[in-house]
Amino acid sequence: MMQFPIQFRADAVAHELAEVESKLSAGLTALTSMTDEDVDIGSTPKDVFYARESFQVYRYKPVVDADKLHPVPMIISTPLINGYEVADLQPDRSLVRNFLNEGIDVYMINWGYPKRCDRYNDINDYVTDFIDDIVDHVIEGSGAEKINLFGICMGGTLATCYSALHPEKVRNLVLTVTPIDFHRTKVEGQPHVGLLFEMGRSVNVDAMVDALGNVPADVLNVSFLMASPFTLMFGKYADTVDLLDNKEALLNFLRMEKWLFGGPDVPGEAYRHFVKEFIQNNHLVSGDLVLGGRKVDLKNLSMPVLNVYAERDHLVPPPSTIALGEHVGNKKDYLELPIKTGHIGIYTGGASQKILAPGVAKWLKEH
Amino acid sequence: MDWSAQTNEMMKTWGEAQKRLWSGWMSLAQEAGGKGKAVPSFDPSQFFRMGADAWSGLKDGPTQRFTGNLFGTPEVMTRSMNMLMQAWQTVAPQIQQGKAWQPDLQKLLEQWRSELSGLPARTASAGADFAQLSKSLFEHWSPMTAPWLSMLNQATAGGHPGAGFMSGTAGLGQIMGFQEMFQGPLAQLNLGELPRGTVARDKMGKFLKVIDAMKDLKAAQDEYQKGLSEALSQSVERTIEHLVKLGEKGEKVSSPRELMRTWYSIADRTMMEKFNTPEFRGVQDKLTDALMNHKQVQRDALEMVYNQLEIPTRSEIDEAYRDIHAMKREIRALRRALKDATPKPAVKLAKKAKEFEANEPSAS
Repeated sequence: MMQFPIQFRADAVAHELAEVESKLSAGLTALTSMTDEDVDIGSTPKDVFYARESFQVYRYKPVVDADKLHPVPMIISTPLINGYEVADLQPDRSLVRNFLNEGIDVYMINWGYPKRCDRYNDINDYVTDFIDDIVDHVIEGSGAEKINLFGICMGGTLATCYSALHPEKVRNLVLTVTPIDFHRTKVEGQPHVGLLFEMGRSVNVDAMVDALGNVPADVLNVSFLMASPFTLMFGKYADTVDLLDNKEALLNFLRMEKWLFGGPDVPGEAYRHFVKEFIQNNHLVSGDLVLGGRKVDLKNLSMPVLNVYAERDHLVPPPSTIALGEHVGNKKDYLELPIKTGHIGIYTGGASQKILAPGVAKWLKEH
Repeated sequence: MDWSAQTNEMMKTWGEAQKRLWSGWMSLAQEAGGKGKAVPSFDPSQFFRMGADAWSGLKDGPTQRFTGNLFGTPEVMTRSMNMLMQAWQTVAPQIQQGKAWQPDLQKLLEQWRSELSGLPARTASAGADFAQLSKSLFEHWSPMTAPWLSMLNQATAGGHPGAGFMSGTAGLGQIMGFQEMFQGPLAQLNLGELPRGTVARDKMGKFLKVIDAMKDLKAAQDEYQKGLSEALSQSVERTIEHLVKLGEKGEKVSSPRELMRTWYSIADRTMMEKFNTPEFRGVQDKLTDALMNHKQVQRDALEMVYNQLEIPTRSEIDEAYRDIHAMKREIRALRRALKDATPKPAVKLAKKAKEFEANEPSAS
């Protein structure tokens, strides 16, 4: 006989709600004593190495003796969407700190918060001018002949383009959760995977940029939330009740919230350029992408390439990332490193802390 | 026990739980509100917003945003649960009797869909549209436009907003505040018709575009809302199916939060399927276009006002930015060309020479 499937016992429900109330009360007390400054992200000690227009380049203070520092500086190329702090979100889950502990000389690009006057910067400006200028400054400042380039998501796509245009300046290219083939984004039976790119393929980006100028971070955030609207907009906060009485856990949750919702707007022309050239027309893999008057040919990627991807990535599906292997010029020195995590978890997840930076550092030292 | 009785029992338990949940949250919010702000009891959303602000004491920081979300949680939780409970109450007797429960649920879902998508469609008059436009201009845009728009609003209060710019001098006179000029003997000469006619048509065109854009936006929003409400009601249906399967297997859900999580998970998946259909993608793209067009034509209309007041417009400033950007690019290219043409610094040349000497075979 069929059983009545909703069995709410009054005493159990009362107990559950009493627990919720108690945690809530403790959490709200903790929240009243917190300031915005307490929710610190990107806190690893660093100096501004170079600054221009709206961007800055940080050099992180090494934590190993000078003679143990890896001789090739590494520049982290960050996305234009969301802040650089994803690589340094909390002290015990920081890709940057892990690299420093491995003896890597870390430089990080912070694209900053573009203003309206930056709206005409397009991908040409970022790749052939800004990144090239940064690479030249780091080469000159460090005395190294070449640099290692480490890309985060869209920052990896920019790094790929740069490396294809200037292989003479890049010793090794490391990519993490980087979209390369923007038309290989669907995974059978997983409708939330690659949704963002699916949406991007048909959007009228001209209308957006003409009307908005820079594309507001909030518009992009809504797109990210649409991959799981109920869980991310409601369920997540209902579940947070369970960590409210743990101040450190609460602080870490808030760090993630701060990073997620505190991202920069994207310069209008860069957005238009990226959506049209990469997402809609897939010109990076078709070989039709032209930046700075030169064709971006992935066969020019003659340096060793380490391509790291997240197996459970729903924003940048693995097939989009690993497509790079079919196009690089130097297949002998091309390696993939899958990590069992998601798009953000690759930088902030507990397990990833022991895999990503140590794995990359080991590979860099071998190349 | 009879399922109707069990459902009533479940509803009673949930009702009491809700009371308890709300009372706990209210006292917390009240405590927060007591820190310096009066708490209105008639407006729950305002009540909780104030509570959240008072608790966090921050402006626009992550703590404040999070506290706001926390305070909104019980409302979302109870609404979600109430929806599911109501759906379950509707179908439970049929399920127990082994009858088809879907038709009754469909009736309920149809009612929800209608409520969610605002049907039956309200036909807004052009006058109401225009009042809405003016309100949005007053609220969100520069106060500089207020007197001008106020005049325009008065002039068009009696009919279609375009009338203010069309059909001779009467409306135009009202808008420009020159009624007297176009009345009496001067009106016989039609003095105002020719030069102002062109200007008026241009202005009229821009404002009519705003009205059209608002109508398009409303239609696109309705269509989008309809799509969302379809997915939402489908997720409720799937959740009931899931519960039926649990019952058949002799399994159960024993906590409100567990039920809520189950529904959210099913709802997310249902939404994903909807978002991936070409039809919904088309509806979403149409909404984006309508939103962007609305913004663009509003700006065009407003810039007309700014031009009259000799205030620089967004378009003019953007044009200046574009020129500056082009010049920056030229400067960068020149700098790079200069750098490439400049001989390498002496130190580097010396270093190169030294390396060369070191590699040369010894002369001795």
